[in-house]
Amino acid sequence: MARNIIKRIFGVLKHRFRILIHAPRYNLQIQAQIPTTMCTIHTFICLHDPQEGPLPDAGSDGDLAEDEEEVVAAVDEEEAPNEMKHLCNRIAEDMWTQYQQVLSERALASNDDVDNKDLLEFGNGESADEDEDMDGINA
Amino acid sequence: MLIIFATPPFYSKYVHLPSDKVSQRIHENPKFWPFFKDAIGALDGSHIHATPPALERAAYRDCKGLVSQNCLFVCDFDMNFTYALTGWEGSATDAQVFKDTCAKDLHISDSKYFLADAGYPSRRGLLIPYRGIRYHLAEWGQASIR
Repeated sequence: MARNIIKRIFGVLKHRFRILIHAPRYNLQIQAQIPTTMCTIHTFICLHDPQEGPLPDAGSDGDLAEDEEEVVAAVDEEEAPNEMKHLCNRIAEDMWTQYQQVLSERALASNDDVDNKDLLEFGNGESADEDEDMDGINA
Repeated sequence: MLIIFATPPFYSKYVHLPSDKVSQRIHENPKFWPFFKDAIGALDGSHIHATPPALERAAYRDCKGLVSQNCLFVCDFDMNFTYALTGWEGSATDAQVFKDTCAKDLHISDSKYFLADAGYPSRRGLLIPYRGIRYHLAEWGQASIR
């Protein structure tokens, strides 16, 4: 959810500056500088002309849609990857605890017992799955 | 003209890495706070069309069959760019471009990180999703009912 902001911003940039789609025939040095320039101008506009807004008609053209399949990195993991994995696991655990809290609060608040039982059972089942997944990653 | 915009001081005035302050958007959303309090932006690559000379065209052919350059961008949660690295051949993978960025000038302070997708290596300063795991099972179930 937080990550899709960068996909959106690509759409905005390509929509706002059509030069990025038409690929003018300058030499490569200049072509490499075009996107950088457009980023700068985009930020400039956002800062000084908020009226223009970050989203000029946010509709996405078919050819702009970023539907790329994510290619899994074929690069050796290096430089303390464990540290980031720990962080990732910790965040997941924190979220899980909060989710469980929310569920139990909901169960208390509502009178409809049947639904809540289902919810909680579903939650517990998923918890076991997630633990397994985490073990797999840590191994 | 391009050079004015793409080089300091104009470039560095408007496109610079965010401060270590927690973003307002993260703070306001109970789904993100406090889990992502150390996230300072999102990072991803995008292909931008290019027209290289015929000799180099093979290197610029990307995974979708177009001729493009691979660019890496970082943005903050307010839809502003904070970093851009452009000019890599379209055949380069996202991870390769990221490696180059780290070698050049992307410095991520300790304990802070960017959100990235599974195309990037797991390393300090990058938070990537778990591999091969389906997210948001409950939400997806509901979506299909709707």
